[in-house]
Amino acid sequence: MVELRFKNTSSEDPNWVRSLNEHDEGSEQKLSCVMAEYATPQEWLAACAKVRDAGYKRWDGLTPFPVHGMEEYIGIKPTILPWITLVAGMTGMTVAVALQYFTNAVLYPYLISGKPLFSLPANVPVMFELTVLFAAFTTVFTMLAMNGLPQWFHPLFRRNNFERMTDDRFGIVVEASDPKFNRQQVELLLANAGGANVEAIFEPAKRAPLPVVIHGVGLCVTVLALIPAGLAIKSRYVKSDKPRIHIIQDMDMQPKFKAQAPSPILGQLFGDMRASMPQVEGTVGRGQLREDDHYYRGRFGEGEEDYFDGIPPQALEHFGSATALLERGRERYGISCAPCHGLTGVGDGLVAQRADMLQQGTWVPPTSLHADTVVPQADGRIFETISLGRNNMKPYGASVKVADRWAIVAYVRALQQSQAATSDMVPPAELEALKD
Amino acid sequence: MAHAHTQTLTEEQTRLPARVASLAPGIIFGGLVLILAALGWAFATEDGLVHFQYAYLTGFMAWLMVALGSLIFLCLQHVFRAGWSVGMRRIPEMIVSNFWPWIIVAFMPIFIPICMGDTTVYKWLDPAMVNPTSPLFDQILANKSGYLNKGFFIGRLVAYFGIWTLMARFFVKNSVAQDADGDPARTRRMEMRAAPLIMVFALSLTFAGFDLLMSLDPHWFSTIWGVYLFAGCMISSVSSMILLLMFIQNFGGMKHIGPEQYSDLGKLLFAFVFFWGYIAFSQYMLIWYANIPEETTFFHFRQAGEWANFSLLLLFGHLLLPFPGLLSRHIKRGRKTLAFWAIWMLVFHFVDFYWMVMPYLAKKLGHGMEVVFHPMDVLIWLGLGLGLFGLTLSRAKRQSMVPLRDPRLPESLAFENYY
Repeated sequence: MVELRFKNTSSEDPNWVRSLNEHDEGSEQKLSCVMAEYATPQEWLAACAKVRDAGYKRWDGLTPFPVHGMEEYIGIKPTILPWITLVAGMTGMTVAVALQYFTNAVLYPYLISGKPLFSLPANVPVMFELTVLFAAFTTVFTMLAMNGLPQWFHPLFRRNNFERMTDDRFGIVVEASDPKFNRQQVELLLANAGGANVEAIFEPAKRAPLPVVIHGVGLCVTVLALIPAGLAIKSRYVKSDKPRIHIIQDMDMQPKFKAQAPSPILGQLFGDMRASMPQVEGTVGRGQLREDDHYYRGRFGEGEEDYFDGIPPQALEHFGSATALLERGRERYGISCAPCHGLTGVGDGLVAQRADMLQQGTWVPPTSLHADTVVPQADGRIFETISLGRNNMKPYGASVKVADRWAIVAYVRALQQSQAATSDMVPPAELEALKD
Repeated sequence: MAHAHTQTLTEEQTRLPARVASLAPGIIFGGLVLILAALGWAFATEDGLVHFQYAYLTGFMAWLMVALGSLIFLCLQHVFRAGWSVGMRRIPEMIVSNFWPWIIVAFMPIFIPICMGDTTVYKWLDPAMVNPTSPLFDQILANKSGYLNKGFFIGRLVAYFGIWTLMARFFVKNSVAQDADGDPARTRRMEMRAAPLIMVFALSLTFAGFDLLMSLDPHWFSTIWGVYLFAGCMISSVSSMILLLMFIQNFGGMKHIGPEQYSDLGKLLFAFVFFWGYIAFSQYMLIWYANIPEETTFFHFRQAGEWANFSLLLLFGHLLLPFPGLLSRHIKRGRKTLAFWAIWMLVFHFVDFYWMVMPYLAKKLGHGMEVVFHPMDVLIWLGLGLGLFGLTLSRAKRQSMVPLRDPRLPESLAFENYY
C-alpha cells in the first residue's frame, strides 16, 4: 500500500490524486511552497498584510480579479519598468534618426522631389514608429522577464484547488526558497490569518521523459531547416553562368518584341533580324509629310539668317482667328515659358527666382524677351528656339505642338510690343480704368 | 464589489461651498469688465475694431472648445460606462449647461456681423467676390459658393449651436433628474444615446471648424482640421475641469475627489497633448511633403518672419515641453504640478487659436510677417474664460455637485489606480 502523500480533499478528483502519488512513489520529497485559501477579498487582504509584515520576500497573492489597493497589502513596490520603457523609447528614436541620416544623407544620397537629403519633417514618422516599436517590445518582453514568464510548469499546477484562484477563491503562496521559510511557522501564520486548506506542496519527484518520436521529429526539422540557409550561403560563393531564378515575374517576360530587340519571325520575312521595321525608302508615313518649311521649321535655308518672318497662315487657320491664336499663346506661354522667362518675359520666372536665391553658380539666367538681341529676331528664329532649344534652354518641340508654338511666337511678339506701347494703342475704356 | 476603502458622502460634501457660490457673480463681473475694457481699448486704437473682431473670434473659439470638449467628455464617459469619473461628472455637466443661453449670447458678437453681411472677418461673405463682372471676382469662391454662401452659412451655424444645446440639455437634464428619482433607466438611456451622439458631435465639430475657422482663408483647405480642433477640445476641457475641481476643493467642496481622479484626468491631458502633436504634425507633414501651392499657403505664411518664431513657440509650448512634463505619474498625482500644467495647456490652447486666426488679421491690416499682438487679445480671452468659469460655478449651486443616485457612484468613490 502506497502511503498517500497528497491529502484527498473534497475538491480533488481521487484518480488525479492517485496518479500523482504513483508518479512520486519511492522518491524523496522536496518542498516547493505552502498555499492557503481565503474566501473573501477582505480576509485575503488582511492575511496578505500579515505575511508582508512577517517579512517574507518570496511569496505571492492569488486572486481571480484585480482588487483595489492589493499592491499595498502584498507589498509590491512601484516597478522600474516605466524607466526601462523610457530608455528603450529614446534608444528607438536615436536609432531612427541615425538610420535615416546615414542611409539618406551619407551612404545613398538620393534627391527626391527637391526635398533636403536630411530633413526632420520627413523623418518624424520613422522616428515615431521606431520609438513606439522599441518602447512597446521592450515593455512587453521586460515585463515577461521580470515576472519570470513564460513558466511552463509550477508545482501549484498539480493542485485542483489552485484552479479556483481563477474563479472564486483567493490564495496566498509562500515559496520554500524564501530565506525566512519555515514550514511550521508559515502554515501557522496562514492558518491563523483565516486560511483554509493550508497545505505544503511538493516538487514532482521525477519528470516524464520526452517521447522518442518528438526527439526524432525535432532532429529532422532542425536538419531540414539548415538546407535553405546552406543553399543561400553556397550561392553567395559559387559562380554560375545560368540566369538567376526568377521567382517573382512582375510581367518581366512578355510574349512581345521590344523596339530594339531581334525578332526571328520578322527576320525571316524581311531578311534582317530587326523587330521594328524601318520606314521603306522613298515613302512618307501618313500625316508625317512636313513639306511647308515656314510652318514646320521656320527657316528656308541652313544659313544663319535664313528665317521666315510672319506667322504662317496654317497657324491662323488652326485657331480660327488672331484673337484665338493670341489667347492660346498666352495660355501655352503661361504653362511652358513663364516658369523661367516670367509672365512679362523679363526673365523673372519662379524657377529663375529660386535659382537666384540658391546662388549655386551653375545657373544661366533666362534671356529677357525684351532684350535688344531678341526683339529684332525673325519669327521663324523664335519658332526654332522654342522647337530645338538654345544655349541652356531645352527643346520644347516634343512637348508643344507646332500650332501652339506659333501661338506662343505670336504672344511673345505681343509681349514685346506691350513694352513699347503708347497710350493711343490702348482701347479708351481700359485706358480710363488704368488712370484710376 | 466589496472593498477596503469604502466611502460615504455627507449632505454637505455634495453641495457647492457657499463661499464659491458667493464668488461666482464677482468672477462673471470681472470677465465682463475685462471684455468691456478691451472694447474701450479697441475704440482708442487705430484699426482697433477690426482687431477686436479677430481677437474676439480667437478668444471665443478657444473657450467654445472647452464647452465642446466637456460635451464629448460626457458622451465618452457614458459610452464607456466609465466608473472613475462619475464623482466629478457634474463639472463637465455644469460647463455644457452654459450653452443655453450664455455661450449663444457670447457668440452674438460674431454671429450678428455675419448676419449683417460684414466682411471684416469672413471676406467671402462679400457678394462681389462671386460676381463675374466685379473686379473682386474670384473663380475659386464662385465654385465654392454652393457651400460658402451667407444663407447656408447662417443656417449651419444655427444648426451647430442648436445641436450642441440639445445634446447638453439631454445629458444635464437626465443626470440631474436622476438625483431626484434615482431611476437607473436614465443611465441606460444616456449610454444608448451617447454612441450616435458622438457621431453627430464629430460631424458638427468638423463642419463648425471648417465654417468658423478654416473659411477665414476660403481658398485653403485641410481635411484633418476637425480632428485638430477635437484634440484642442479635449486638452482645454480636461484642463478646465482640473482647475474648476481644484478651485472648488480649495473652498472645501468635492472632497471625495482625490489623487486617483486627478491622476486619470492628468493621463487624459497627457494623451491628448500627444494626440494634438500627432494630428498637428500629420497636417503639417502631408502639406509639406506634397508641396502643392494652394495647400502650403497656410504654413508658408506661418513659417516666415515673426510668425516663424510664433509657430516654434506653439510647437514647444503645446507639445515638446508638456509631453515630458506630464510623463511622470508623480506630476499627474501632485495637485500643484497638475494645476501648473493645466494652466499652461489652457494658455497654449489660446496660443494655438491665436496662431490659427491672427495671421489673417496681419494679412488684412497689411502688417506683413509681423505678429499683430495687442493686449486686448489677452483681455478678451481672459474675460471670456472668467465668464465661462463664473457661470459654471453659479450653475453648480442649483443642484448637488455629485450625481447622488448614479448606479456607478460607489464604484467612483472607491476607485483606485494600479501601479
